[in-house]
Amino acid sequence: MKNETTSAKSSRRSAGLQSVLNLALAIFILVALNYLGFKYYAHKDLSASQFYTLSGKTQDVLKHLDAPLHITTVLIDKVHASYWEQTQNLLQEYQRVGGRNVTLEKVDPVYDRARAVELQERVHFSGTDNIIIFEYKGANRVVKLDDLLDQDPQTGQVGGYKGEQAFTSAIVALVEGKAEKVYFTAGHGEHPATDMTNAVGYGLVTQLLKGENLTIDTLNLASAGAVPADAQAVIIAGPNVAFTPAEAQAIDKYLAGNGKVLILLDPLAQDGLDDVLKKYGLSFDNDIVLSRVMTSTGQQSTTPLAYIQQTGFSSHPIVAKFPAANYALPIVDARSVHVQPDSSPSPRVQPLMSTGPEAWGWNVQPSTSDAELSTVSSRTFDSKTDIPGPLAIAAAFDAGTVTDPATKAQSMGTRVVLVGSAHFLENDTIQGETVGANLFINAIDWLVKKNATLDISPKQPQVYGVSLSPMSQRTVTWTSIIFIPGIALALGAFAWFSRRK
Amino acid sequence: MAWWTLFKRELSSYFHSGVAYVVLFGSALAQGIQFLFIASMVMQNHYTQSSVMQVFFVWPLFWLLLLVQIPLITMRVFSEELKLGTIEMLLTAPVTDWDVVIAKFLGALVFFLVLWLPITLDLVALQLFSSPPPPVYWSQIGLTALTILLLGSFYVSIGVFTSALTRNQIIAAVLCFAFLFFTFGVSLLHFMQNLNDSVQAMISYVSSPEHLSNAGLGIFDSRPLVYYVTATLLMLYLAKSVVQSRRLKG
Repeated sequence: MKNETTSAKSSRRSAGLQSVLNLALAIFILVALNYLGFKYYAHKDLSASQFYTLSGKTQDVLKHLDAPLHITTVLIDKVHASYWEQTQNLLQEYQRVGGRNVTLEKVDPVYDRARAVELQERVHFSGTDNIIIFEYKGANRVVKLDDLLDQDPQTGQVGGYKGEQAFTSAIVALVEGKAEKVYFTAGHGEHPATDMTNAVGYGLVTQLLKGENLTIDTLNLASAGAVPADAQAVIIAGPNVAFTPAEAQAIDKYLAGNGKVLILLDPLAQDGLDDVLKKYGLSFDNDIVLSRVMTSTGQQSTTPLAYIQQTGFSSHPIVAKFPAANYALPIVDARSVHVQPDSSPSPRVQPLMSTGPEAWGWNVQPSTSDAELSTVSSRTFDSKTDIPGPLAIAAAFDAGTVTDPATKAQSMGTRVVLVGSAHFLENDTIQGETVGANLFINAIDWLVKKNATLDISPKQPQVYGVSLSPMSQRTVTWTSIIFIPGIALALGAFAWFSRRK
Repeated sequence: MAWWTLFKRELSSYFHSGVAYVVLFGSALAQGIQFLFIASMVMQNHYTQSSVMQVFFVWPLFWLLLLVQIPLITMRVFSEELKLGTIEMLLTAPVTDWDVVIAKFLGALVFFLVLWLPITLDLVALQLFSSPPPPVYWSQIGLTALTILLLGSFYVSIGVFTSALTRNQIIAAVLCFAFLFFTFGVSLLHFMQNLNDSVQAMISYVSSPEHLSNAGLGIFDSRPLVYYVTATLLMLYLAKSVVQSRRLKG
């Protein structure tokens, strides 16, 4: 009897031990299979739009990174974060393809303020846009979320998503180590580009360009003879001596080769580039923009003021966000910009900002005497000689995308921006002035950032949306909360009656 | 084919219980309300880049419903038989432990899938009455259905295991809910800042909301497949071990 009990206990103990061993083996197999499944896996975008399928070019770039690439997404403006989730998903694809070399970090300034501040100090981004920062070998590139969308400014409809194009361009630029170089011309009395101490210097505003990862250099065309090949853009910041014909020819040649130029010109100054600019449908008017304002004593007075109201900004990408931000820009001493009329569906020449109809352009010449200029306050509109408002104070020319016939590579064509004032960006004037600084930064951003475009097509977003007539809406509502749950109840009742029978 | 006979018995037991229809009714109503709310938001262009189906399956209420449904469906599978003593008949019948566990698991899984039929009908109604009808992306629908099946299998297998542990249905349900909440809760760690990449990758590997979200986008990934299939098999193995130990204790 005792032997039987001992044998049963022993048998049970051995079965128990067997169970523990089996369980350990099962867990081991589970862990091993999951380890292998985690390491070696299949991943395929089966969506109709292939939205998350990376091109061969991108995959090639990511697989050949020889240093860590750190991607940080910073969500600042949650209200205007269209396509943010898609962007995050796309970047996860970059991380997946790039493997260990690509790290991804999400920063929400609300939850991680210290990290956001640290990033802002290091990368110098504006702090108003949702951005994606690419860091590689100590250099960085910032891509704005808004730049990823081909959006109709009127309807807000997204025609294409250029995430991959922008991200891969940024990574390629970092890998190749090319710094985007912007040249400020010198030798014609221009504002000193990086001078922080001089009241008329542009030091404060050009400091903001650090966030755009640009290198700033000075260009003396008289001695250089031509615009250097590495120029991403040339800025002519308020010359008061006209360019010589040889210098104008150098600018002309640069523009003809898909160059990018920003010209800021004060009233009465001459830049000697009229013939060059006419080719692009733009010119500066010889005027001073005047406005009638009410003085503190309640009297009407004329003042050299170009006041750009919220509604005065156009839908051009440089200023498209200004109306929503309630921006207005008063510029004292400005001249108007003449824009050649272009009625095509996608005009190449567009005004950026205009005064209201109450302003007018007082036709002046460099020869106009100081005594005459001092009579501004008493001037009224002269329909014979003056230019009636509204007046464009800034305008842009965009040649669009051009394709190299030999390599078939696409790049941005010629771009020109004219602004009828230069002194509003001086150190003394720009302090605390956000709108002027944003105009300058956006203009340069537009000129240089989209230069390097790769042969990657924008993705067409999948179309969703539901459209129900009131009648259909009622039908769907009844179906969802009465008819379908009702079927469950009816089946229950049927089952209950069947069982009772 | 003993498991097939047991499976049919198990499945019919669901449809002979009044509670099952109450759960089905409550589930259909909750899904209908959530569906209408999301459809109205999509109509008002709050979600311009996602379909109603995509939003539905990442909505918090969906997860809440899921975490409540599973314990309700599975709490009785073994506990009831243990309490009523009918498990003895099963264990002494000429069937293997695997037959019993698989039959009970499949019965619960089929009933779980039936509980999600209402949202399918809701989506079909929306498709029929919309003008123009929204585009149908079959890859996204197919992958979402597959993911629901896979994660449903895993969650149901957890319920089967916890039900095998105790004769008290309430304790079985609470244990199941706690287990599911832990499994689901791991995916919420994803929102934590400053997690290193390896930890992020591991969280993504087990994150059901992320799996379902990716499926909704039309992205096929073999990792969730491996995870759910192996995890389900482990849970069923554990359930079978518990049943086996009960048989041995006899």
